[in-house]
Amino acid sequence: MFINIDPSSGLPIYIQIAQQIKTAVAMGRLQPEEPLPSVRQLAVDLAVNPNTVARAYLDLEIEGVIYKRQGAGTFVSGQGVEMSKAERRRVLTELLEKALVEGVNLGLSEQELRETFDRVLDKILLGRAPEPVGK
Amino acid sequence: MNSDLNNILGDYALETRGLWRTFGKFEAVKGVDLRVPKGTVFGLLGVNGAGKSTIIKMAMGHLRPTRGEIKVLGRALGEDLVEIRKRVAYVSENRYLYEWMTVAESISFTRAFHETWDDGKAADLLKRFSLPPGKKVRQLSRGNRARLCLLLALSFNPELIILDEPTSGLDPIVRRDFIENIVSEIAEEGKTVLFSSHIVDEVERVADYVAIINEGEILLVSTIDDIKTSYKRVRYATNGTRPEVAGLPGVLAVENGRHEQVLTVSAWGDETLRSLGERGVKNPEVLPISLEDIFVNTVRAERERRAGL
Repeated sequence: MFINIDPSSGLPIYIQIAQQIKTAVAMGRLQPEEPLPSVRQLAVDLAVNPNTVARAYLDLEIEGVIYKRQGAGTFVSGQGVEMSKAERRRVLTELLEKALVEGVNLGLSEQELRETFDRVLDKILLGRAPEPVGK
Repeated sequence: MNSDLNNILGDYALETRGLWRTFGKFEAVKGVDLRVPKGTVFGLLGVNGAGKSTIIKMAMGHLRPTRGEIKVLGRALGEDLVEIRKRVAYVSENRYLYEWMTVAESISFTRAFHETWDDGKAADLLKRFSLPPGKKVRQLSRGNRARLCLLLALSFNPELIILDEPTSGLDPIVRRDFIENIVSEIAEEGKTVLFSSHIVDEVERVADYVAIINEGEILLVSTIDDIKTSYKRVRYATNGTRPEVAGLPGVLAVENGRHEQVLTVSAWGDETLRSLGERGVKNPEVLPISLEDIFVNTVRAERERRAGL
């Protein structure tokens, strides 16, 4: 699992870890039921405090992205992150708003904004397309 | 880590009260109250000469405080120095080793002082660090000397590990060895780590708590996450007139652009938002700020405050 920690970003490290695991799940780089490294192992790999990794895992567990199985470790949850549709929309709207405000401020036209949106969405959907069947 | 709970229990690995140290006329440490909760990693962050090493040397009993109290693992330092030394590991920038001993001799020599010595751990670290047992200390590279010191410090299972600028002058590989091993120590229940550094990145990765030290005083103590939540950069367009914000509580720094103002705020919240609103600030944009910028701005604000006195 590749996680890139940037201490110079103002974002707390536990949030960076949680966000990148969420992205990995959304992009299909982490599959349902896939095991995650232990808190200790990931802490050593990333050279960060184990409490920080533990906090990221706890947040992800609360959000239903991952789950713990007694004695077996931590795993990526099965299909459907337990978040209501309205909640998911709210989170997305908030993120898009930030990005689009930046876009407007950069002087992009409406047309350019829509094209960029489509291009990024295509890229993401393409990235998680299932493997072709039969071969 | 729950600092309130620790306050109630008084469960500190290290506690200082009103710690002072002067060297002639120079005041190196000026009334430091430090509380390092058990089981946490505590980083002392400060520029060179800020007083970090002096605090650590006093905590290790290597230097007598001019005044003030120190408790280590619940005991007053004066009472029980020998007992405390058995439970506290110390790694300093000036690595103290006997030049004429071999690596293996250094290990068996140190082993003799500690009933809690763990042979398995020492052997494991020797292998992990690829240290040559038969080589004399004087022939070791700088990085290998540092690794040997870490091995000696960790192999007796100390309750408190104190590291004074542990990675200073080391190459990135040895530095990473240090950080990874310290991290893996912390993962073991109950161990406390206190380390000093002027490298912000290091403190930020590893520490639960950070204390920013400047000219012998603590400017700020908090958990890293709390700092990052309460410290923000706030940016907004000035639309012709610049609002008067310099005096607002919690505003550490004001940067003026041509058409914008950027504030560094130490306690971002509704209150600051409201008082900015009262001064005509519209749609402020709140940005995260790195620990490095917080460190620099806190130290600068203190210098300006003193210059103004």
